[in-house]
Amino acid sequence: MPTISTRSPNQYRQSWIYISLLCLLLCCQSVVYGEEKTAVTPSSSPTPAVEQKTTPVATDKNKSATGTEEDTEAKTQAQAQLENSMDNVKVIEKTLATLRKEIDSSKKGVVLNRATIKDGLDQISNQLKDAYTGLEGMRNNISTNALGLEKLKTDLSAMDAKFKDNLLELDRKITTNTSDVSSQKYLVENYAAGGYETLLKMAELSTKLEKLSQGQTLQNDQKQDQRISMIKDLNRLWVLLAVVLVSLTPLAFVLSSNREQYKPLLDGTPQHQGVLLVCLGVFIGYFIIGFGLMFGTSAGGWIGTSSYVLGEKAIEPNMTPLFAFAEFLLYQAGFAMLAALIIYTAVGRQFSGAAHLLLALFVGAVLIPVFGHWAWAGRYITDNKGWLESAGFIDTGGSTTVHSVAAWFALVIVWQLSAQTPPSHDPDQPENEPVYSASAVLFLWLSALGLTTGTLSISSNQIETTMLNVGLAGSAGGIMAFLHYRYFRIDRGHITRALGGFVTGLVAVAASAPTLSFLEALVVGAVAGIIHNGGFILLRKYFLQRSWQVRTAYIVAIHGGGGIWGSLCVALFGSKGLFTLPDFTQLVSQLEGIAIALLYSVVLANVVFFLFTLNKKRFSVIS
Amino acid sequence: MSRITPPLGVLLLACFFGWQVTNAQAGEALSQKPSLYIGIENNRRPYAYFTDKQQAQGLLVAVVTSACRQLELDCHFVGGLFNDLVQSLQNIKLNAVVVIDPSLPPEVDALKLTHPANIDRLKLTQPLCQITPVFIQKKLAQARSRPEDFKGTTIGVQEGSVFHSYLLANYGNLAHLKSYPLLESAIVDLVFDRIDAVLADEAFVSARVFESALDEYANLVVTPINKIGLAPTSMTLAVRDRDTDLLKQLSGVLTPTGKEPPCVELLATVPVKLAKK
Repeated sequence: MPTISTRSPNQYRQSWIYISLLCLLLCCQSVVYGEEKTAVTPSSSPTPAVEQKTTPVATDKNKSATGTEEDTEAKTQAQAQLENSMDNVKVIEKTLATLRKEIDSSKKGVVLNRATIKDGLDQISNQLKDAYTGLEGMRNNISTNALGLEKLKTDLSAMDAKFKDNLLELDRKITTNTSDVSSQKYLVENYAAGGYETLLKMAELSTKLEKLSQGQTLQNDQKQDQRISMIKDLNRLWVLLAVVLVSLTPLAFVLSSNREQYKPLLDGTPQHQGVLLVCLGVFIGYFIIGFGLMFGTSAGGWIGTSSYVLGEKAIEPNMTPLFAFAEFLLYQAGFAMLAALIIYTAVGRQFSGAAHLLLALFVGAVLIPVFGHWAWAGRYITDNKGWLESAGFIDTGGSTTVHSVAAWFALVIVWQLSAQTPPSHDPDQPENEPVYSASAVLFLWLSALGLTTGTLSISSNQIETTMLNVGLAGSAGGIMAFLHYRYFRIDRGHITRALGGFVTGLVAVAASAPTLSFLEALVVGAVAGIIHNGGFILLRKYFLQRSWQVRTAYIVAIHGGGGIWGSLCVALFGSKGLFTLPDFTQLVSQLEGIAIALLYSVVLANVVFFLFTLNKKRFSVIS
Repeated sequence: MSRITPPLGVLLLACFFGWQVTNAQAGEALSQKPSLYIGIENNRRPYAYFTDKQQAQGLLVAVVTSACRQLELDCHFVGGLFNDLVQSLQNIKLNAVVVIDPSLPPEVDALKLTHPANIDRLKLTQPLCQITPVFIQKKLAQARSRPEDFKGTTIGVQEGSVFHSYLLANYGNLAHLKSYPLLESAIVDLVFDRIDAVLADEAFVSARVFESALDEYANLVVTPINKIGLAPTSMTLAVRDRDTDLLKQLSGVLTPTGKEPPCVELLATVPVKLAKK
């Protein structure tokens, strides 16, 4: 520290030098003060320069510790500078005191300058005092603030570490949860996709199963078609076999030998050869006209309007026949042939060969076909039914349609003829002459098998039972007729009645053979045997008393009586169950058919007889 | 001489193997193509999906693979959820993302952006194929076709798709809408009568319903819809907006003519081959 001597000649200059030094010190002090203020001002950035350079990532404990040490060092430096400043202030204060003493002891010649300097020094002193006072307060504040800052910094460090830990944990949890959610979403999508694939598989399997089922169905259909085709073929074969059986009918009539039959017709034609004429006539008549009338497109159910002469496609295109044309025609021609032969046998020698031929043509062309259309048209084409069939009349084997119609027709013809010939009595008891011989009966049995089963399907399992029923009914009829004559009428006609009863049983069972049980067939046949005997007796007693009418009486009793009984049996025994109550509605229909057949035959027979009588000489109709 | 023969042999062998290794490295360097990482959704049949052997397949995968082959790029397909894929694209983890049918936000859509649309710093190529919206529903005496016909019904749709936004705008007041993260789930619900109809692309219906005979199984029929305005963000490839060169190259190969065929036609013509993941 330099001293100022009042005795020096350069007193004035030395004083200014001291003042300059003092100012320099004050400037230094103010600089230090400014730095201290910057360091401790709370409003300034609390983050040290080191911390500003630190990234958020570099917030680990090591770096935090480094930052704390640097802060402490800076603070120590500031404290040291502050202490130095305070020392300097004290030096200035001492210097000022010394300066004041020297001024007081200086010469009086420099009063003005001295006063001025003194005032300046006073002002400086005052300022220094103020500065010192301020610095002291500031020092205290800095100390207080430093302590607070230390505490705050400690707290902040603790909170920051805790917060960072929590934040990191939270971040980790969020990241984990996000990953879990993504994984679960992915899994859900995968499961959904898997479910969909399962659905597709299911659909594919279902489709395959359906196709397999369709294939199976197709195979089954093909098998069914093959089976149906085979059954159709077998049915056709069976119909052809039935045609063969039916064709045995003429043979039966040829073999029907009795004394009456050995006599020739009026024109000399042998009767067994007349059978051939009848067969030819009825076959031609039936083919050319009869089949068309019988099975052609129906005109109101009354008559067929088609002609099959030019071909089998004479029916409406939308109508499908159940059978092939040729075989069905052959089969049905057997019925017409049977009817014509019944009439031929019943009329017998009363007509010439030509008359029988014409009569056979009529039978084949009109008699059987017209009534046949009423009762049987639906057999060939299902939707082409005749009116009687539509009314419910059932006649499976032709009990009424063939047998009764022919019998009534023959009865009327013969009855009309009897009016023109005188009664006679045959001493040889022609009643004991059978109309059908044993061999004829056997052939008729075979023929009846064909007539009753020809239209049945081979797959219906009805053919064998029907055949059995036919045999049972015929046998029961024959035995019952035989026993009846054996025990109630003592004569020689036992076997004759047995043969007639057998055929009556065949005729009766024809109408309902497929629907009867075996016991019912026996009953039907047994009753038919009784009817045969009773019918013959009644006819011979009241209607056909001439000796030449015995055969007619047999024929009418067999075919007429048996036909009526057979048609009634459809209603009496045709119901389901054994001997159940008859179907009365059906019974009415059957009675209606029987009556219509009777009326139809009587009318036509009278018409025919009238036509024949117009030119009886030409045709030698009457003997 | 015999003393130096073994070391000489060893030296020659070392030179030979060294030459081989150098050649192999050079070959690898020559055969190495630039790689392109493309994001696809995991399970969006028939457009893009992964097989059981984790191989990328699908209609759009086949198209992109074909484009990569033309550009001599080695394309790798990466699976994931669509939003994650877009984030990966923005974070430069992927080079491109296959965009099947996401819907634009309405405010962005209202701007009527033309291609390439700038969405989230992405750009889209022209559509690789054109979607054809159809309704698939159970066979009825009279199939529903007009919006009024769907009154009171429940319609299923892909969640967040362009179809979804279309239904919200046009059928929201008529029918109940049910969105599905996986469209196949909607078909399952339709089959089991839990919903009445599903709006989807014809290619999806063709590949996922009709080719599998599910239509016969569940008596499903398709009703076409008249041309409707859908957001142009379907069946495209998204790249970052800064990758203008890549976008240009891909666009030049993927849609050279600018006329995209219907996806259902592409389904029939483009062979779907296995692609590397």
